[in-house]
Amino acid sequence: MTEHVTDSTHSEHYSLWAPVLGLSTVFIGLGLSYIFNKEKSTALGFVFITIFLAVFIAFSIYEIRNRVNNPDYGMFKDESHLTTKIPKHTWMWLFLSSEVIFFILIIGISFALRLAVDPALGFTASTGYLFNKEFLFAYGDQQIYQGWVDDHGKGPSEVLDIIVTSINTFILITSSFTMVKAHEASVAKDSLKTRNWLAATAAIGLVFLSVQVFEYSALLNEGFTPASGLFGATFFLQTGFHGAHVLVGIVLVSLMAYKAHIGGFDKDGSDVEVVGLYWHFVDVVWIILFTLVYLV
Amino acid sequence: MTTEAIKQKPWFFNPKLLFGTTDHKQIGILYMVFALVNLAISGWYILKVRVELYNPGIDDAQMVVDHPVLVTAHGFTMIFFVIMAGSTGFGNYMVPKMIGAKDLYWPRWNNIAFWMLIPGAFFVYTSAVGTGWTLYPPLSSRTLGLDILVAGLVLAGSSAVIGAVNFLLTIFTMRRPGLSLKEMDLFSWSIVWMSLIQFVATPIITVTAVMLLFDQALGTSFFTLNAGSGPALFQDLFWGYSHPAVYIMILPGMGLTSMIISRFSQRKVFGHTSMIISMGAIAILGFMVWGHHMFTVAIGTTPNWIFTFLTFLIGVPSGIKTFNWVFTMYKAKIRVEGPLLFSLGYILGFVLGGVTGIMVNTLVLDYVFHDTYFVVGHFHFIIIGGSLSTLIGAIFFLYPSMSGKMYNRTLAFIQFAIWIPGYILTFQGMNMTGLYGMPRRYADYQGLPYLDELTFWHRVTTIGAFLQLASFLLMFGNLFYSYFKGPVAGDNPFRLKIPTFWEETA
Repeated sequence: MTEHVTDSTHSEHYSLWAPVLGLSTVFIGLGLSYIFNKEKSTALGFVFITIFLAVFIAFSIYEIRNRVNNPDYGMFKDESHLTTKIPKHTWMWLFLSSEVIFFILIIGISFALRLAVDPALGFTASTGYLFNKEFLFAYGDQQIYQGWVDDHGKGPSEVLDIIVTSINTFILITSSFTMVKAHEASVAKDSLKTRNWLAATAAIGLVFLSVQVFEYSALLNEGFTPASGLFGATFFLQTGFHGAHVLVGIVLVSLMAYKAHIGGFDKDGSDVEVVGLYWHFVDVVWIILFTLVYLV
Repeated sequence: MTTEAIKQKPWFFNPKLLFGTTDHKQIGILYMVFALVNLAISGWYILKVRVELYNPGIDDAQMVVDHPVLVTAHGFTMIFFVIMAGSTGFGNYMVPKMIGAKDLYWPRWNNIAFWMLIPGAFFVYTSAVGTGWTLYPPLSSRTLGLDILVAGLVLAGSSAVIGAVNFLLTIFTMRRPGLSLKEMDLFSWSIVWMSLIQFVATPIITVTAVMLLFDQALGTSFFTLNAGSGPALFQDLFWGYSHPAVYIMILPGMGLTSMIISRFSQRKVFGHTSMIISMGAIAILGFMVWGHHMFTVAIGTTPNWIFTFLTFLIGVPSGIKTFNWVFTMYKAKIRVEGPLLFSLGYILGFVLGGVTGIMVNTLVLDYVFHDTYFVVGHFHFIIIGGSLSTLIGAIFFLYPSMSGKMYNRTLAFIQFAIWIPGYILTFQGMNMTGLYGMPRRYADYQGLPYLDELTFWHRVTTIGAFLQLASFLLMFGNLFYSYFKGPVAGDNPFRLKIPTFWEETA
């Protein structure tokens, strides 16, 4: 479906997967809209997101198989069109830097709000411009701040299960370890080991996510919801976005495991490295998040 | 283009190419056509508003309900789907040729990024949100359609970031050997700075929009007053993106203006390096001035002073660029053609808009101007009088190479003669209604003081808007007719020393 066609005046390049993928993003939009609207069916929203993921995974598998089976495949046959060589992972570093901005914003706002509202941290009486209620909340009023607690007045140490989450953090760190082993195996050109370590990474990531889902259901049953004051709002915002990134990571790692399975990973380990960068980033974000949300 | 090539069926008759093309020139044309279609729809929306505002009193009761929705849609779609999409289209069409590259770094992601805009636009138009494009809570966290709007914004933002990464990687790794960054042309540089801003700023709006959606859908209290942080936090976050966004919109226009003025003055741009640095200064300073949208929100005197000072500073690189354009033309052998005239229209609009910008930036004056049509006049002078003028000029400049035909030059001159008074009347009319106290986003002004003056200046604005419509109709007619019946363009339709946009020397 991706062809080079040449006629007498110029060559024509087209790909039919590209518009299919581009237009399927309508399912991301519909999914977001159905999940985050009280009147609409949330389940249908998840169905839409799954449809998009299916299209994306189908496209990725098609790509992987073509690149492995057909050395001539692709828009550019080799790298001769590049006049300045950059390492393969440059675009991942670029992308990660925008993700850094994204997470600094979320985690930063959440923590800044906490510094302004939580008397236990000792900043609420400050008269400076930062972390000061009257500055941050220009329409602020003393009585409406319930502090950094849920609807029953319990703080983070009482509401959140720190033991289970600490174990979960260790689990995620283990997955980063397996990712490193996968990269080592790919540099050693061992496709079996690479595939196995990558599959292990994805599996451990899935365990992490399952524990998170379990924790969410426990919290929601206890009545701790996104509506539970700023504590609840920021908790679900941070962990929710992080969980979504872990899910995307699991999909990427699984696709890379498939690539290793059919023997097509880069023999210098550069493509496993790219996925590994994303995975390690997600892990680092979790460690920071865990510290600031659970431990502090 | 040769005559044989013209006799072939155009590429867009082939559905495989129309949908799946990965060629940067064709994708560029797709973006430009998309931008023009949205210009027509969004323009039609706002003309309905202008017709209603021609007279005080409500002529059409439906407009009371429609007005906020039309105004909101107009704002979002002009920003994301006209100016940003149009600029990306020009970037796609021109940058690879100007730097000597075969295509963009990721040709297929280029296509994907374009088609993402279709569902994106569909969601934005169908959301029917009526809060104004600034989405201020608490109104916005209670409004219907917010989920659909945020869906559209997420898609439009992601498309922009993909495009930005693509441009950056292309420009940094695919320049022809020997082309240093310092020598690279100013349009490509404007795309570099635009892409950097898009890349850094878009996460901000994503987070903000999602937090707003959470407030509505999950009952969080990020921006609400119940045990929450307050609407001012939203404004900080929103303008943290939206101010850099206006520089995303103006920078490619600056690059195109530099290119057109230099080609039609048959001279290199005066102060090439200072132009690059000025664009960079504008891009970087643009991240530090968001608070000037919040002067009346009582964030404190010291922050207000800092934001005022930094905002005034942006005038410096802007002024340097304006003077450099003028110096480029000084005693040059100028070819007076449509593209050059419209770029001169950019300078005029940019200066007029900039001057009113100085006025709104002056703290005590902003207390009078904030939330009136004066601000609307200010930014439209910059975007329409500025950016859109030069985009029109660039369309005329590229049209011969894109279509192989030459447009009708007389019609273009007539269009220019209508366009300049058109936008001056429209937006000066807005400045005046704002001075007389016309609030933004009001469907009517019956009962306000200075009713006679308001009526007069609203009528001036509406007439100016219809002059703009006339000029666009002339342009569409000109380009459309010329495609079928116009003369073949030949190699150098403007008789320039350097006939193409990508060659450095004749």
